[in-house]
Amino acid sequence: MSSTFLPVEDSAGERFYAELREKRLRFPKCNACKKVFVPPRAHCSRCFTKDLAWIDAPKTGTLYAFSYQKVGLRFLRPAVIGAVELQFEDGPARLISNIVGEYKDLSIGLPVELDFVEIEKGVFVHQFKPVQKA
Amino acid sequence: MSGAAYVVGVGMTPIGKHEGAFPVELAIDAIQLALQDAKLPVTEIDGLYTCPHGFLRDRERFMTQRMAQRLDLEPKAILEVDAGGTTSGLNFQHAVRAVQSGQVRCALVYASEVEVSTEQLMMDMDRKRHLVFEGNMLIGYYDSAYGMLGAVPLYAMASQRYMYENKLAPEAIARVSVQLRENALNHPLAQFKKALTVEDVLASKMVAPPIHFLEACPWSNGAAAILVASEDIAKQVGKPLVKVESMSESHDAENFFPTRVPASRFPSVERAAKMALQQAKLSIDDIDVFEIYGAFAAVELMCYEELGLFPRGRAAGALAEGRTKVGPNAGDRPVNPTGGRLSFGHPPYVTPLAEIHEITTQLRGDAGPRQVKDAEIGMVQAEHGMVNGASVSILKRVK
Repeated sequence: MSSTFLPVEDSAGERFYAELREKRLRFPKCNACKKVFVPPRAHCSRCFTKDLAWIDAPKTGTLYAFSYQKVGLRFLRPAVIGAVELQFEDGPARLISNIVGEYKDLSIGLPVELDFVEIEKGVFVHQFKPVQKA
Repeated sequence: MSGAAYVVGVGMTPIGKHEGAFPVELAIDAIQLALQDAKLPVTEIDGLYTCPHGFLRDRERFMTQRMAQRLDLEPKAILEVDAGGTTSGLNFQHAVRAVQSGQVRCALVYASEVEVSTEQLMMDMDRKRHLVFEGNMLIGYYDSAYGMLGAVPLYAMASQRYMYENKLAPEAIARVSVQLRENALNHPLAQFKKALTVEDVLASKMVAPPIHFLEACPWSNGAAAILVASEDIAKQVGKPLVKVESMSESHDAENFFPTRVPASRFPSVERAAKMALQQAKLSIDDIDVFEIYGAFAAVELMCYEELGLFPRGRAAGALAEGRTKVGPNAGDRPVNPTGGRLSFGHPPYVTPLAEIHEITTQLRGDAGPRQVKDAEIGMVQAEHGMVNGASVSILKRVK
């Protein structure tokens, strides 16, 4: 279920946010065409099947790019908006997300790990934070 | 059957705030200027092509039909296009095809933009919801969860990757703004009239790092109108003939921040330029003057490279050497005599027509202090999203 300020375009969007509510970052995959759909969609882009498997995204990735925004509805400065590169079976994909950390402490290539944040009551989105050294 | 199509008239208002203006009245100003430029009566127009008055405004419909009523015309073609920043670039191409096919003899392609300010939209909850909705429509459903109202942080990340991969210092990017502002000082319709230094640019507020305020396109309004006509009308007009030599468009399977292709590349721009050049049987070296759609300083450099003006990673150095200068000291790749989107001003729906206005002016030899000597062939380029698609058209002065 989407919030007022978080519309979805198809049933895959509904599923995506339902998974996030359960602290799972998942994307649909067509087993026949071997394509993982980032961003999610309700049908395979090639064979049009709606019988898609939802697979877990990797729990770690690398920080591909990052900035911050001053104008917006959430995650305003000093929160960092970033693109995280995640390796899927069919190649790397980059995801826009919130990055936990000070802009000045971050760098391209930094290993980051998956986290979740509640943006409105009952509505969760993914975010990433630098991998904590043991 | 395919005849030729020519740009016979161009008109444009000053680019700036136009606070409280009715967009349709600015459109009429631009249309009147285009008709005067072509010395054609309004009754010659038999095709109307337009687009929305802004991205955040309430959506209007039947715009071309209301213009037909406003001008007492019975057009043989009407079209309203909405394709992000390529809107008027593609609209122009549709009008050209209509003239080439003989469907219309004199097409009017016009755009007028008076955007609603974010302040106005944030004033009440209903308006805010509308702004969010439009924001989601603009950015994409999933990325918009992070509350972005515009694409600036995304462009910032593309700029960051470009600088990182090509080892470019902030000064190299800031120089773009300085060069474009120098160009704009010689355009009477440009929004900004004050020269800049690299220090000014780097001292300006950081919008979304690494983009400084003076490296970002401004909030701009205004209108432009282009008349595209058949050969017999073009010959009547008696000005140098500016022929539409070739056109192309190309798009990626991405929307805004690319998921699967590198953010430091704009392959749709590269493909569109190659196709347009191939169609015209030209090489990039045959293009005498360019007007390109760089909404941010680093993105301008990236587009130069994608279009083939300079090898990868070399655009900043070339600009520093003066190779992109226009006017009497023009370099070998004169770009954006208007001052580009950063300094001329950037009403996104109008920009592709502003580019055509300038290239036509250059090819006619009427660009005064901005004139690139003997300019015979010009290229215009537009893009949408985060440069996920591009349109390219090549214009040529013929006998």
